[in-house]
Amino acid sequence: MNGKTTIAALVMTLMTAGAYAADKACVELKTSGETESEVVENGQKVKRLVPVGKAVPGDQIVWTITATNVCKTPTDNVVIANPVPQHMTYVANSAMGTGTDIAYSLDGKEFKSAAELQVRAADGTTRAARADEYRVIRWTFKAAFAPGATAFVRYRATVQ
Amino acid sequence: MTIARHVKHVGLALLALTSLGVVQGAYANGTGSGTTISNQATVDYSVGGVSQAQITSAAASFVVDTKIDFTVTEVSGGATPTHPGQTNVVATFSVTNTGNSTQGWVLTVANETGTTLFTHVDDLDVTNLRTFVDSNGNGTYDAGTDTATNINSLTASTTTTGVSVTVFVLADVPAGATNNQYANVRLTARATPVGSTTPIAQTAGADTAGVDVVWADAGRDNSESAADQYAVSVALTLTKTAALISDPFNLTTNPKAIPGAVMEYTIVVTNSSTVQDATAVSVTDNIPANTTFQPGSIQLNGGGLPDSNFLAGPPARVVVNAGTVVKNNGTVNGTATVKFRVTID
Repeated sequence: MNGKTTIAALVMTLMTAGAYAADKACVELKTSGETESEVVENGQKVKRLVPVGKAVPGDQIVWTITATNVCKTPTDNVVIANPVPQHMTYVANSAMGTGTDIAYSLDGKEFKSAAELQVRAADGTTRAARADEYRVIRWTFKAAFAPGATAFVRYRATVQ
Repeated sequence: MTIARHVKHVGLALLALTSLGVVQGAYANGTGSGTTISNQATVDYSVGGVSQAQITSAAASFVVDTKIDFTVTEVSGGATPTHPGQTNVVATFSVTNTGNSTQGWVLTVANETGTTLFTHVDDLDVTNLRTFVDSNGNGTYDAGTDTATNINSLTASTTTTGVSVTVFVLADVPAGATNNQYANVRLTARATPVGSTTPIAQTAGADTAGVDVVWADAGRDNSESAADQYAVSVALTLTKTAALISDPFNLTTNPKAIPGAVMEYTIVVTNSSTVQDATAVSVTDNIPANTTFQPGSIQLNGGGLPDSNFLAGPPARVVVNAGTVVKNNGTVNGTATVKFRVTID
C-alpha cells in the first residue's frame, strides 16, 4: 500500500460521512411515556409498563428514549439529552441507560454527575442539588452504535 | 422609533414575568386538569468522527386528568354546647379542595346513632338539620346571607394545603332533651360538576384522549365526611358566699368569727340558658361541722321558709325546692337565692 492510496481512502471516508449527513439522519430517536401497572400473569402479580392511562398529579410516568442507528456505518459519540417536561419532577436515582454515563443539569448548559452537582445560595454557600431541581438529563454512550443497533435510556418523573 | 422599541421590550418583559408567575403557581399546586404534558428528547452523534446535526424526537404527550380530592373536617375540635329547646344551633365544618380542578360539592347531614365522639356516646337526635355555605368567608353563620345549601364552586388548590370553604350545620334541639345528652351529626360532601348537585362520576375503563375523572379522595369513593356533636346542658350554676352577722360581744358591729357568732350562707342558682327555664330546681346544703342551724332563718328569694326545710340528718342539711329558675331574658340571667344562718359552736 503506498501513500497515495491511503490518502484516497481517507478522502473517500470523509466524503461518505459528509454524504450521509447531507442525505438523512443516521439516528432515529423516539420518546415514549408509559405508566407502571400491576397485572396478574400466570397467577403472579407483576409490574408491566403500559401506555400512559389516567394521569393525575402525583402519578409517575416512565419516559423511554430509544435511539437506533439506521445507517450502514457506525455512529459514535452518541449523546441523548432530555429536559424534564414542564409540570413534572424528576424522580431521584431513576435515570438508567446501559453503557452510558449519566449527567444532570440545573440550567441545560452545565452537566455534572449527581454527586458533583451543586447549588449556590445567595449567601455564597453551596449544597448538593436535589433530584427535584434537575432540569435536564444527559446520557453519553461509551461505545459506538453498529449499523442497525438500538439502545434505550429511561427515567421516571412525577406529575406535579 | 427608539421609544416605541423600548416600550415593546418592556411589554415583553412583563409578559415573561407573568408567565413565570403562572408556572411557579403550577409548581405549588397539582398540575391543572386538562394540562398537556409534552416530552421531546434530542440526540447528538458523529459519523466517522464528523459531528452530525442534532436530532429531536417527535413529542410524546399526555393530558393531565381531573383529580377529585378533598377533605371534610370539623372546625372547633370539640362539642358544640347547646340547651334544650334551642333552635338553629350552629356546628362548623370545613370542606377543602385538594384536587387539580374547580368543582362543586353536594352536602348532606344526618344524625348518627350510638357513635362515640369527644369521649361521649350519642344518645339524642337533633331535628331540622340543614347545611349552609359561608358565602362571605367570615367563618360565622349569617342568617339570610349564607343561604346556599351546597358548594356551587370551589377552585383548585393553589397551595399544598388546598382551598377551603366553611360549611355550617344548623339543628334544633328537642325541648325534652336533658342535661348531658349528646347528639352526633355527620356532614358528608361529594364532588359534583360546578353548579350541579349530582356527584361527578369516575371515568370507567381505559384512559380516553380527553380529560378523565379520577377519584383520589380517601377510600377513592368521592365521599368524605366529618362528625360534630351537640352537647346538651341546662346551664345552671351555683355560687355560695358566707357573711358574719353578729357575735356575742361586738354584736352586729364588725362581728368576729368566735363561738356564739351568727353566720349567714347565701346560695345563688343562676340559669344562663337563653331558651329554657329550669324547673324543679332543688338546692341542698349541708350544715358545716362545728356549727348549729339557726331555726327560722331559711329564706328563698327573700321570703321566709318553714324549718321543715331543715333536716337533722345526719348529715344535718338544708333542702330547699326552689321551683322554676327562669331563663336569661336577653339581658340578665334568671336566679334563685337561698339563705340560712348557723351559729358557731
